[in-house]
Amino acid sequence: MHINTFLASTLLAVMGTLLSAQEVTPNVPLKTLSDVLSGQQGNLLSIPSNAVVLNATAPASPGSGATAATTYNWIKSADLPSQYQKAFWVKMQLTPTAVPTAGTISNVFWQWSLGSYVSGQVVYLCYNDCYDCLDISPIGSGNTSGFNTRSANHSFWYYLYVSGSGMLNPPVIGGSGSVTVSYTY
Amino acid sequence: MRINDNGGIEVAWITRPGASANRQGNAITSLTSGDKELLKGSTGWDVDSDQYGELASEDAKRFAGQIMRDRAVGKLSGEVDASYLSDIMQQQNHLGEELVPSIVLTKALSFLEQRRTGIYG
Repeated sequence: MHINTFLASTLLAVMGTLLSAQEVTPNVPLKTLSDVLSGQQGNLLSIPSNAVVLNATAPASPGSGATAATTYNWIKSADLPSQYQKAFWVKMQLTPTAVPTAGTISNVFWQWSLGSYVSGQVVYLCYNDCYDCLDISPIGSGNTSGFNTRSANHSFWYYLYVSGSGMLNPPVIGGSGSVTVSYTY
Repeated sequence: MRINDNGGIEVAWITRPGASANRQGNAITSLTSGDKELLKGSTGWDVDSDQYGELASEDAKRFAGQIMRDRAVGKLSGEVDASYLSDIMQQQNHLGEELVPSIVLTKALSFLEQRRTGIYG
């Protein structure tokens, strides 16, 4: 009887401690991934804006209860096509997978390199229907917010061109291009 | 090209006629009135009333994008003509990939011919 009483009182004491602990715990808001990445709360991470910090991450499924938009990235890279002739366009497509249509772009990081660089080389980064293009010829990697607010589930394209006429001798062979598309959802 | 406040690099738009206020960069080239007429006649896209192509088909925007890319690199300096369209076709045949859907190029050639002869469909 005494043992049962002791166990019951111990159990009540433990429950009381847990309940009181729950009551006094301060209401700390949860950090979203975007908060952490932007360093806006707690300065847990300080990441330069031009850094690629995440691998492609599948977004949370809709209806998971999250109300704040979270930042995700999709990353794609591929070999750039060879260029044998001046004044000819060649192109390469980078297509996202499993990106929700509601995802909107918050930043695009591009990176390209070629096996050789010839005078008159043009590199454009184009979005989706290839109507919106940026001239990224001057620099092999960088960020742009120019595509922000557009849907993140569309392709990006690399367009290559060499000014002039005639064949390229030697041709431009080798190289790759990539995009890291950050988007909120 | 310039560095923005966030340390990012801003580069120039080569397309998109008339840069809107919520986009960075400036359109450094744009469609001519002849280009717009051609686009309207061959694809139905009225660029002046639908500048950003909200109602335009993807094919129409691919065509417009190609024209502006070619203007940006100096490959196309005058008005679009049959020679220019044929050059795109030849390049597509040579490379085996489409820059502009062939059906659009065919319609554009037809439009140019109709405009030249004054006979509209």
